[in-house]
Amino acid sequence: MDPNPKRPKTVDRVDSVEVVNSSESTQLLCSIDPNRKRAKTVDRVDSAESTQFPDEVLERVLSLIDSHKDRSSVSLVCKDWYNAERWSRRHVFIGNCYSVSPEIVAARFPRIRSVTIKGKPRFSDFNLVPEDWGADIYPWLSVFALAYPFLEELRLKRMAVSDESLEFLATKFCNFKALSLLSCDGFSTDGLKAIATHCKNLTELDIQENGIDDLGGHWLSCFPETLTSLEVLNFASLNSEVSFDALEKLVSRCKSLKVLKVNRNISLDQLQKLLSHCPQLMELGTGAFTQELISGPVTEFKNMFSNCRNLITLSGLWDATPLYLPVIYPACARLTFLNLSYATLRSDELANLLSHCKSLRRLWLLDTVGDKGLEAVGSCCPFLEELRVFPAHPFDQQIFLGVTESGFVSVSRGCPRLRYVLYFCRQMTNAAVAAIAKNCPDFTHFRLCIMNPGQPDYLTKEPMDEAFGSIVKTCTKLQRLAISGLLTDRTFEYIGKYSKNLETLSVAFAGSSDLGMEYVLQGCPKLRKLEIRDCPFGNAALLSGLTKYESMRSLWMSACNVSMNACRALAKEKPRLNVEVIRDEDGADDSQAHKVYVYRTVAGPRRDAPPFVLTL
Amino acid sequence: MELELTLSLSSSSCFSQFDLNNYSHGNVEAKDNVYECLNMQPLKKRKYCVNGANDVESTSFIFMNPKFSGQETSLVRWPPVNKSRKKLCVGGTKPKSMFVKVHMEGDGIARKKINLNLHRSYRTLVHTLANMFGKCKEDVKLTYQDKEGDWLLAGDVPWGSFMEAVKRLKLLKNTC
Repeated sequence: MDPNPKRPKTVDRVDSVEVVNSSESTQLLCSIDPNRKRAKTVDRVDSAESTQFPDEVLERVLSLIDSHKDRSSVSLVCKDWYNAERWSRRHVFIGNCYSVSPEIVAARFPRIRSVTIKGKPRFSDFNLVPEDWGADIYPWLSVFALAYPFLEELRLKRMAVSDESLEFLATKFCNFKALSLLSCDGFSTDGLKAIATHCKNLTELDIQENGIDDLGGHWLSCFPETLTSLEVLNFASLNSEVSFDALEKLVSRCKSLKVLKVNRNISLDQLQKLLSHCPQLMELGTGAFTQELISGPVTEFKNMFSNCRNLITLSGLWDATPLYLPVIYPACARLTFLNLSYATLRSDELANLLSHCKSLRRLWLLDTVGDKGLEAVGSCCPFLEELRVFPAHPFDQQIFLGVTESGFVSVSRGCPRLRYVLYFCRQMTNAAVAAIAKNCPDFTHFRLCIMNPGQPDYLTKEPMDEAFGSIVKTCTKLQRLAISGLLTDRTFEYIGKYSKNLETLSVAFAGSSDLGMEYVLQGCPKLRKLEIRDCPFGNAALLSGLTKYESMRSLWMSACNVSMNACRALAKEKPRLNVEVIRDEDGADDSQAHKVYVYRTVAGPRRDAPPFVLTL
Repeated sequence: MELELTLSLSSSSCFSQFDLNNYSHGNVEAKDNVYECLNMQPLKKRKYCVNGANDVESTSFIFMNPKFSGQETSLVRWPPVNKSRKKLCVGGTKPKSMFVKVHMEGDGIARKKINLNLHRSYRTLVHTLANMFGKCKEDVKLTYQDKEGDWLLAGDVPWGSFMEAVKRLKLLKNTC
């Protein structure tokens, strides 16, 4: 393989929020004085620019750099640095599994210990991508078994993972430690059995929101009694009951356990027993937070959290009622992240709870708390940085409950440090969003979902253009935006003109013409992901991004107005893009491209595409 | 009359009627009569059909698929709620009401009704019932009649089993 420093950086892009700030490391690199303390092999230097380091020194210094963006920059400096960087890299992040092949990764980075891979387009979360579309982890694992037999960590998002793959992972990688599966599908609890049985050094098993075949809770009993290394265990999204005895013993012997998230079947008194064994816990996901029988008084649980001095994250809390919620009060003062999105709390219940939560940075809620509940958020949580409000009844159009613009405004008044918001509501006004933008200029992620598509400002009846206009004009740090409501091309004009830092844009039922999409593709210099559904953007819009798509990770367009010919034209012009069309089930109109997925790649066209995916 | 038009499946949307050679840019035009939109001939521009301004509540924007004229198809995979969250909502959009009759001992023939689906525990149920009859919850004992016709003391079986068996409720004065 030719280590050409100019190769596209498809493996290096970072998406993760947890980018480690390694500016210290890069400064170290530039300011190191070789005269002072280094080995005699270091060359004399005149200036920082013409520094010559032996490989060992360079690699040692580069090994301190964690940020992918910094590593990308480092690898472009010169051939020596490219090589030093590739030998010192321990973790590789692959934002689109089809942008590169496992062989290319293995050839470039010989010493990887930890891999993160994302697969399907995000709209697959909402069933817009057919099953068996792809993103199978197995081809990666078979290459890694040879290239990285000492692989320790695997983190997957939206990948297809079979039980065979999990068994392969568990048996072929003797040093395997950490497995995280988020929104994956294709496996069952049998696969988890293999992991529990064979991974002798397991530190992390994190299973979230997956399309999993739950065949029972026996997998948990497969952890051998010799396993004491577990630090993270999350099985909150699995439905079957596990053996409480096995769980209790596991928790007792794993003294380094930091994160424990159990499923709904674990009762309150069982939870209490568990907590008595792991007071060092930092993150807890409870089971059902209610009791059926009036067995003991609530006071028997009041000390449940008093020994948990390190607890900063609390989630679960299914069916939490005002009767049992006070049990968590002793832990509230230290909490920085509280996930109440599975508890149907009312406004007063939430207000009582939040009055104890002075340190909250992140809060997830159900809209049952209403605007009044959000007022309480505004008054109790001045340090809040992230708020997500999920709809309790998203598919019931008759309901007029939930939260409105007024709740959002209340929060913005009391929480000026807000930077991440996801908000589902049924009504909104331009004036409210303008006020919110003014109160919270530091937004980095603004995701507003007005649940009736194409709904205008309910007071003025105007489109919601000015709302998003005010967001992009005021919030200069905006990286991610999701828009909704009745929107004309003007919204996109604002986005293209003002969002200099925008990386991800999600659009549905918006725009009036091709111009909308063109504004965005011609503006937004940092755009990486554009996902569009049900918009009137056609061929001219698609082709206006001809020169842009190679600088992006991907484009998704479904239920728009794009023809197969336009897609073919794009594919022909840009051989380094994969232009894929997903054919619809009834295949009514073959000249239209109903679902288009365009992404840059160095791996060429997919070799594993199912029959309904056409690569043009 | 409330127009209940919904978005069709993407494969057979109105767009398939468009003649792309005539496609040109244009502005949004709010239409008063939704049916005008339905007679879209090779359109020069796409128009959004918004329900007439009279209808304040359902200002939903909708298309009708000419193929399924008269038939309703629901919005496809919207709003964007994750699968795991959707699972929690399915079948539970509104709690179904489960009304049972309640009688207070000594209250003559007066009967009241209570919606059991609003409760998740004996404690809240007793509390509510006591209030209903103007009593303190310490002064009453809750009994229920099950499917077999037997009267049992409430609280001995798990709430779920109670909910499946209960037919009628009776509050007794607490004599202890």
